[in-house]
Amino acid sequence: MKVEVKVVGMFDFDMVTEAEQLELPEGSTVGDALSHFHAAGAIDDAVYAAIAAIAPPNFLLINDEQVDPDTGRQLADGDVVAVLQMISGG
Amino acid sequence: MGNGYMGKVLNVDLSAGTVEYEELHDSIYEEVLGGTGLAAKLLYDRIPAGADPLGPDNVLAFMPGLLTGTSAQFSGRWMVAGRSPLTGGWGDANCGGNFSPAIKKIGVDGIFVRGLSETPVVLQVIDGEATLEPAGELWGMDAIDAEKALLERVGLKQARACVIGTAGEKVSLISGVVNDGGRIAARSGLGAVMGSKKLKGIVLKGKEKVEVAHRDRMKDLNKQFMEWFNKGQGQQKVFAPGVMDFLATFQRVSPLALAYNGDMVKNTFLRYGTICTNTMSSETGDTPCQNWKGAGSVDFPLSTHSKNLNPKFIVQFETKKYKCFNCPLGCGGHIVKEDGGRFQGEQHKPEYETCAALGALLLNKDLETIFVLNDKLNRAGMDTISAGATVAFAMECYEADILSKDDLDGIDLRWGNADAVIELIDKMIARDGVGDLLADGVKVAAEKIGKGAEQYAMHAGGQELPMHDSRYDPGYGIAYQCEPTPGKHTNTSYSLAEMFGLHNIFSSLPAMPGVYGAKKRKQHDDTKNTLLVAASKYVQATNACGMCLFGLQMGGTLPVPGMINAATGWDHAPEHYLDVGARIQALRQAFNVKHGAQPKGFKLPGRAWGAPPMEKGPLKNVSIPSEEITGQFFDGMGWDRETGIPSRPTLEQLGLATVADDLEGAAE
Repeated sequence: MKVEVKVVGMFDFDMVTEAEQLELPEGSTVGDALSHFHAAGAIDDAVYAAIAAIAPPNFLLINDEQVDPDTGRQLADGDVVAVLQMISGG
Repeated sequence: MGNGYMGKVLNVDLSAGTVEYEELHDSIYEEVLGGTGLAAKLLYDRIPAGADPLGPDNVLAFMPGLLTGTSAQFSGRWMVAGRSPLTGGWGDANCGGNFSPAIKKIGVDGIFVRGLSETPVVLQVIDGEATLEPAGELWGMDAIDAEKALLERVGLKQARACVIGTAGEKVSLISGVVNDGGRIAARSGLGAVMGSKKLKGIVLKGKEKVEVAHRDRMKDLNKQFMEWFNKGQGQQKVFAPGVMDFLATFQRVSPLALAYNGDMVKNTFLRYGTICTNTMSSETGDTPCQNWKGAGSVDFPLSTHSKNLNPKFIVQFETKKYKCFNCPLGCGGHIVKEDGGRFQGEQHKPEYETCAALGALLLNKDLETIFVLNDKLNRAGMDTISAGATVAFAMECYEADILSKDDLDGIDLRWGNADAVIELIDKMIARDGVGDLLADGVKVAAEKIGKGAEQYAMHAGGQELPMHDSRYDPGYGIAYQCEPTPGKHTNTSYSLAEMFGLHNIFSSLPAMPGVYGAKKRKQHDDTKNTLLVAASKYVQATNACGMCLFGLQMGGTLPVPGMINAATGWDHAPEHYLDVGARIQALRQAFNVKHGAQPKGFKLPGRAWGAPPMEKGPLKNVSIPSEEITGQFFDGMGWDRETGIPSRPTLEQLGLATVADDLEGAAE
């Protein structure tokens, strides 16, 4: 199945704004998607370590809807997974 | 022994051509501190009801903070205040740079300018001698050139100045006051007041020193803060990308703590400044998109649009960091572009609000346009938020056939047309053709256009909405609608209250709950209401001290109440300063009522509350119960739930019984 992953935020003292289309096996989870995103080279080890658990201030959106940060949640074909960060600007 | 303030103000009457100093009683400082607090107290009394904002009776105040010059960290902001021609009520704006200490150095806690000059003038205060000088060749210059020429004219290295640009001269209601080569106190349209008075600028140079009551105590408080502030900065250098990843990861193992203790704001703002949120805010729904009808993740996608505004692309042109007076952070920066792009030269690094208002709000993905317009608008002295919001309004009117191409002087104002945006803003700055129609913001333009244009005018009480979506953080919506200066993002919100870490300063307050949780994030409750109200009061007290919002956003590590006590010699508990903030808020709101700007009229357009709800993106189906939550906020402030007017018991408790009499008199 096809899944889009987006990671945007300040990780490893660097600004990350990455998006990637991934081909994943049926039944893949949010955790699997992030792992493949990392393996595809979209983010480095440090950024992956920072987002893998999706703990605040990072949060998870599936298809633009904020959901509980459950990395075991199963994905469906066409899902868009976004790990974002909450910080307010000026 | 000193007390942090100078004890007097300078009164200028441009009609009479007079300047005179006035001593103030100590009690007034304890009542309202300095800055906008002092301005609210004096201007409430001194501007007659209904005075024309652009007429001789409006008084424009230029204020330093109570703590400016006392060595307190983050205390370098100055404020401009008066009756706003944009909202008709209380107007204020503040700005960083080095102008605030310059006001203190001439020995005053504020400069109050009334009257109208017949010819363009400059107020000059050099070593105690205050005079009005012809503006001469400065009139007609843009703000950056005019400030430079004014400083060259006086020829004193220590002199500092503020000026208006051509937009202020042309009395654009969305113009502000500029200092330090393109920084701008932009909101509330007070550049137009300065322009109406034909006051091109103020140049100051003095030698007065600010004395404080307890220098050692202030030193200890600064040291305590700087120890926290400097902790971890070394890590940033060590943790260059790819180096010592393990330790970098270790530093992040508790990201919740990162958010609450202020490290997150410190680290991101140190590196990028406010633009750190450019891309992520577009994805989360924080950034309003396409005049508030679009969804960033759908209509301004990461892969083709918002990624272009990645802060990394902007800071690659940053040649040096820019720090305001007494600021340890340096979120600003100077950009130099010599890459053959549309903008070539030097400018202040654009802010997040500028990037969003000229980016996602217009579906403009061209970063070069933003550099070009940042420079043009700073030079003109026109507010980038209001200018972008006005272009967005015009774009939607064009899309809806309310404005034709002919109406727009032949400009094809399609969403995302970068060339068209530049052409239109040039016209707004010059008040040329359709630019004259739009130079006073969306409310005035919608009234002139008619034909249902008002439905696309995103404003509160006349002021264009800023770049944090109230459907994403309803606390911002409450601020936009309920604060005495409507449509501003620098007062209170869930995000701000959380970052302020108020429970670390005020033991009576709880921590902010549920900001990150998926289910409760947008829900208003008693705890959030308590913290929104407290943040609103705290911001007023700290504005009065000249503090920067970004210092406050560091999780409550900046000990402002202790700093006020150290400077003044008072010995108040922290909570006392929330009461002072409440007093300033009450005065600002009473000012609105006195001048007929009824707070209940500051309603947000339905779109900003999710009425009707958006059908796509992260704010899909979000609908905020605005009546209920704004009513709760007014309750928390002790203001009438329906009218937003401070109640008599609240005013009496704050020592403002005569204001209560005034308001009752005004209602009869």
